Amino acid sequence: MTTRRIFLKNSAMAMVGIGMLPKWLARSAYASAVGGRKKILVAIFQRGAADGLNVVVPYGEESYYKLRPSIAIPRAELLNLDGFFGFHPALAGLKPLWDQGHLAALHATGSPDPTRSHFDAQDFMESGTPGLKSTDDGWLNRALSLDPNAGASPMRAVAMSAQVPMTLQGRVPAVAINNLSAFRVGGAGPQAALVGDSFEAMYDQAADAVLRPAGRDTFEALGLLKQLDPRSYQPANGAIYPNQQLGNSLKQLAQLIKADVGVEVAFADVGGWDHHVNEGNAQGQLANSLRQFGDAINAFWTDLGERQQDVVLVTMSEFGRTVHENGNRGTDHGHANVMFVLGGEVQGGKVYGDWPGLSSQQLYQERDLAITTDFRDVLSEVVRRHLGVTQLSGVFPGFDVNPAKFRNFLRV
Amino acid sequence: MVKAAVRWAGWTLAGGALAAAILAAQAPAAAKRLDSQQQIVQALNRLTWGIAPGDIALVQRLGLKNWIQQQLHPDKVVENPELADALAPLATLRMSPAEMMQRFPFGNAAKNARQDAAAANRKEETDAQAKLAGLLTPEQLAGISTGNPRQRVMEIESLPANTREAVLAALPRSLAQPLNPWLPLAQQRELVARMNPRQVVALDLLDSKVLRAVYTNRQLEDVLTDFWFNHFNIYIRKNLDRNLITPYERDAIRPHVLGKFSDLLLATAESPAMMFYLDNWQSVDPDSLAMRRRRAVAKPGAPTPGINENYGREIMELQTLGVNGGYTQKDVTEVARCFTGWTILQPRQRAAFYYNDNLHDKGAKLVLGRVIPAGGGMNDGLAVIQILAHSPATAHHISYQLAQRFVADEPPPALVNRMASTFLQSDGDLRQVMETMINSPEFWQSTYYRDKVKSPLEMVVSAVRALGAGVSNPTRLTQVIASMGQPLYAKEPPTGYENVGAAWVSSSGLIARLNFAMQLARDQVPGVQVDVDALAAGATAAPGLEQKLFQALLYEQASASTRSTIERAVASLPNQAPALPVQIAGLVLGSPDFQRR
Repeated sequence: MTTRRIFLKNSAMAMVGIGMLPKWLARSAYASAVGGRKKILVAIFQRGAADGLNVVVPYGEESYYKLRPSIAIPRAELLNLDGFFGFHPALAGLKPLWDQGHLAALHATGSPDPTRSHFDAQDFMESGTPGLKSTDDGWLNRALSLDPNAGASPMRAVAMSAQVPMTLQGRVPAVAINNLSAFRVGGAGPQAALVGDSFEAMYDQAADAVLRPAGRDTFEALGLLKQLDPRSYQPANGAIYPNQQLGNSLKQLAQLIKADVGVEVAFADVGGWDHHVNEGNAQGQLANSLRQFGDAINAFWTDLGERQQDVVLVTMSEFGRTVHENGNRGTDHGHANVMFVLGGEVQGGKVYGDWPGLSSQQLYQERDLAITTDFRDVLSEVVRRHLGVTQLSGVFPGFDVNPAKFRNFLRV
Repeated sequence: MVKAAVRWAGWTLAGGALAAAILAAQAPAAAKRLDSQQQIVQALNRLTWGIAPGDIALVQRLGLKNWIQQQLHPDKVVENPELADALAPLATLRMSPAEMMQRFPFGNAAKNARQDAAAANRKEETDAQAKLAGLLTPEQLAGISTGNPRQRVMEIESLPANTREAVLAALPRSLAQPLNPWLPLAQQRELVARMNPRQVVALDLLDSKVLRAVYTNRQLEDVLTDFWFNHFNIYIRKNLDRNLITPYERDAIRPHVLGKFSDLLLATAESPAMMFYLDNWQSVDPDSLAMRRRRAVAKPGAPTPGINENYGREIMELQTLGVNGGYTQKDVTEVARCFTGWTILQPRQRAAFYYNDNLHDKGAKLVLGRVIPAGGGMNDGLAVIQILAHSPATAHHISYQLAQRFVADEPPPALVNRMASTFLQSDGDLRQVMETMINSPEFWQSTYYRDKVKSPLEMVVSAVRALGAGVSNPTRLTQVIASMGQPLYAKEPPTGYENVGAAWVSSSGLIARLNFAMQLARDQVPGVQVDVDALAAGATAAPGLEQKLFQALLYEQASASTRSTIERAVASLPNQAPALPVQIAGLVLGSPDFQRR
């Protein structure tokens, strides 16, 4: 009677000690007892192709202003970085992190696949295998599955979204949480426990090959998160999260990280970057998106406090946008883009990568920023040096990972 | 078994391609046959929003084949009168784009209207208490102002009709807001119209989606409308599309879902909603007459409008050929040139389709190797639509998408090819493509029986239908669907939602499903009336009770794990506990069994 076993397990949990705890929980209790705090990698996906040239602006390029007559950011309004590049003014939230040396940018990065389809390009970047559609798992999940220290918390891989994104799909169970407060089953009535236990048993025993593992991961996570009280969470150090998609995701993620529930990799996404029309310049649609983006990351970093040293955060977007503005004061789908890396181990305050230039013969297909750093080289460096995964060919199959190509934005 | 065999015999006698196909499908392995009951369940699960009480009997009475033919010809299905009643309070469903723009304006007019409403609301808050005190006794006033929303709504409903209307009209926002999902739809809509008029359009549309799915007798047409809207997805929160989306679904999508694909494609291409969503309304030839004139009077160096590639790309990638359909970046630009001048007449007033030759690129174009000669005007775009609508790549892409939604997450290639060849031979007749799909052995293959994971919309609607619940206000249901990961009409990218069922499985989504299942069975969802005891039909105690509810909700025995868990839960509760049927129904609706169709 396996069903009975589940019931026993749950009713016993309250009464007995660690001997009756599920294996992972025993391990994580043990891990924290010996001070085994884990490294954490946070990936942020800007869906819709952010306009990298108006994010980290190459204001030293004459043609930037020539090709973008109405959407270029005026020099005077930029937050200067190094005499050639400047932040969009709406990224004021990121500037202090840059000045403190925690934040770096990598320009002219991207996927070598020529597609300008949002859908395909996101897929390729999330799977980590440009051009290969048959890949059915994500690079971040593979990075975890290669970690010999496997089988820990059910919260090793967390997506702050309604569904598990491609980036986190794969062998290691991943949990999708879009709202921590709603992450409980059975309500508050007298029969809540019976309902929760019944559903747990039902899914645990099901023959259903898709729903059974989903149920198991969910109930393990539920058990672990029972003690959290998300409604009363107070961000530390005066951090103020914007009350928008990314701010809410990162706020909940900070809570999970600080609660030591075993998060090792996390994913959050933020949409609304596909500015074909009226993109705006120092103000406007892109500015609004960037303000949310920068302020949310700033709040997350501030809130993390001393946990900053455990965390690296990396941002990406499926491709960049045309160098020239289109007929509607917007931009169409392009090629290379900019990525950000933030973390205690980051040697920040610098724009990494070779700048390919914006004159017409320097452009990709005579219209887009060319790629000089493959996004997989950026992610490989993070996975290798931050997470300590050595088998990089397993994370990015078919890609020649060569540490000599690393941009060395992380301290070795 | 005897009964099934008899029916089976009757069926083959009825003859026709369908029966033959089913026989063929079942020939190889006798053990893998769907019996006649399972065939009905399969048809209802795939071609409707879920099985409601009486559906199986209806199909048995008509015969499966006749029922399918009826669903393929929705004009032959007598519509449920409850649907018209339910939709009656949703006035914006029947408005033209121009009327929408007039009633729910954008720009300065909208700003003024909002300010007026806000001022009125502030004034109301102060006047309301006095007004209410004049209408009600102190006890009545306490009754409608305190306690949980459900009780408060019951208090309001118990007032005499005249007083009730006066009270609803006098309620200030602070008292009215929590009542929203509990109020009957007509009253709730009046409250919203008074307090936040801009919300009305979206509320009407979302509510209508759920009401149609729950109540319509033309189930297949409605499921297809959902499929095709999602295929030609637009986003309700993109500015003008807030108003244009309702006429878009009504006029461009629904009338064509069983018609010719080229008509559907053209209807979307000419719709202001799609033109606005994918920016084509602003895509112009920078050297067109109108732009040359504009430059002549503009400040030197001021940018003039030009080509926008957004629609040119998505019409090929997502709507017709598919991403591997053999087009290039050059084709994207050429298609965009063909559609220059397809724009919107007075977007904030009339919001009608308008071809403006003065914005059009008059040069020759080369689209997918076909020359479109210079000087074609609006015919350039029409030619592109014909090229795309009749391409073999389109036939395959569309067939694949349909098969993925209706048959299997990984549709069998033979099925897709068969559908694609019907598509090409029938000039893209979508009814015939559907018929080919349904008549194919793969549709009836036992491998795919109850094999698709329900989307959130499917899960919620099928649960409401299975319980035979009444929906007096679907607003909370639309919120539940959003919490499971599928906010209706609010998928921002043009890809729409996935047709792959398994894509909906996630921790957050699963938790939302389990909680909804219990709340619905317990009759705790505002605006929905559930009577589980009626469904249990007299059975009050185990084991008859579980069996009744399995049959009523799953139309067959539950899986072993679901059954044994529920039996165990029942055993731990006092027998004949008043809440027993409710608990069982909730567990069944949340079970893995019910998450599949």
